[in-house]
Amino acid sequence: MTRILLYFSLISSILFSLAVSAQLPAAAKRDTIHKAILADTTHKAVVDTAKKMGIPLKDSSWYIPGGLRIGVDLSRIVSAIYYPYRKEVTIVADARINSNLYAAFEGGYANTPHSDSTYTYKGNGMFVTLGVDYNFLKRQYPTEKNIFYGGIRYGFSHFNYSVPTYSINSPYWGDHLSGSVPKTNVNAHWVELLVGLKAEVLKNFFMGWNIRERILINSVKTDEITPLVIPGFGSGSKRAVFDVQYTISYVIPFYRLKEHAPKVEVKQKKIPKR
Amino acid sequence: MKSIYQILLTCFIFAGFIACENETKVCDQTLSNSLHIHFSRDSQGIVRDTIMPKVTAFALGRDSIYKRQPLGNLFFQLSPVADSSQYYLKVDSALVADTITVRYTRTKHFISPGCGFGTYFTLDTVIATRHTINDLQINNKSVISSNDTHLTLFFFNQ
Repeated sequence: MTRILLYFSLISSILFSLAVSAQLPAAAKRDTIHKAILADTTHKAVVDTAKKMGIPLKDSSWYIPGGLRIGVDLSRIVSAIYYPYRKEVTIVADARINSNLYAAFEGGYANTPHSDSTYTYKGNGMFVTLGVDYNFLKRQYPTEKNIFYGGIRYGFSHFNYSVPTYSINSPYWGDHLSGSVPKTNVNAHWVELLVGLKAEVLKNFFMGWNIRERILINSVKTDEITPLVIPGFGSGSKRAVFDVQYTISYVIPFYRLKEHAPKVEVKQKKIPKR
Repeated sequence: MKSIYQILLTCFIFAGFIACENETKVCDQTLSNSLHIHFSRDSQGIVRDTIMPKVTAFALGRDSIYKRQPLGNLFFQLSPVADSSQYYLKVDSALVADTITVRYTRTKHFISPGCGFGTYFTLDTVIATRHTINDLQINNKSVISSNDTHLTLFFFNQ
């Protein structure tokens, strides 16, 4: 009887252990599937909620380099060689306001002497232009500083001119009349539209060019004389002039601007009305 | 695509230099503002243009402007240093000469950076002897272009 009990307990323990070993892998498989399902569900739920609720991501803003860019216009050197009656120095500057907008300033001084067989002319004056540039170039990385821009400026010049001597010859009468025009102070106002680019060729060092059209607002002509040159504008006898600038400039990066990631708009499915 | 940008850039550079022409080297609008005189006859109320057969004219004390030429219009240069100019006018070799005195005011005018200065005249009075000239009429007081007729002389009918 004792032997029968021993055999029974042995067989039952073997069967139980087999049953447990058979059940364990099945339980493990079921758990894995369960976990996977849970993970997927959670992930989807988080993404969907963020998009729908418009909750900003942790890295949704960053800093972009700002700074004051100061330079000179090299084209004035060429123009002074070819057109000796227009000796001009132009300083250009701009400062970044936000990711694509720049406040722009230009200023300078011009000396406009001329002398030929019939008259001599003296003139000088200063000018400033103020405006904005807007960058159209899509940046390839947040800190890119190259810009392709369009801009608008208001220009103002205060200058003076005089004609120390002039002579009017009459071949028939054999006479020549001499005279002079006294020093006259004039203000000129104009608007200019421009498009150009500035490329960072070395760190913080830029080269660029732009083309521009200037439109004079007020007339500076008088019955007596038309100024040869309006400093910063160009010819005094024209209402609109075309000009080109070649600039080299250096940016002083003493501040930076915070830029936020653009908001992602979720397109909602249109549900047809019934 | 790259070549298009290069072409555009070249065009802009050339356009920039062309735009800055040296205005002091070019004189393309010389001031031609001689006094333009037209000849007419008034025949019983009917005014007709006329051509005088042998016109001789000069400013008093100066060289001849016209010598025995058949003319219907005259162009006299006014003196830029005086406020009046006097001219001798003989319209036919057989007729007596007339003297025309033109009084005017002068204003200097800046023509262009390349051409320099000139003089605009504004007619005040015109006086003529009446040997062959019957009457005269100022058509335009402002002498700024020779294209305008400034003075018409009416001659006696012969």
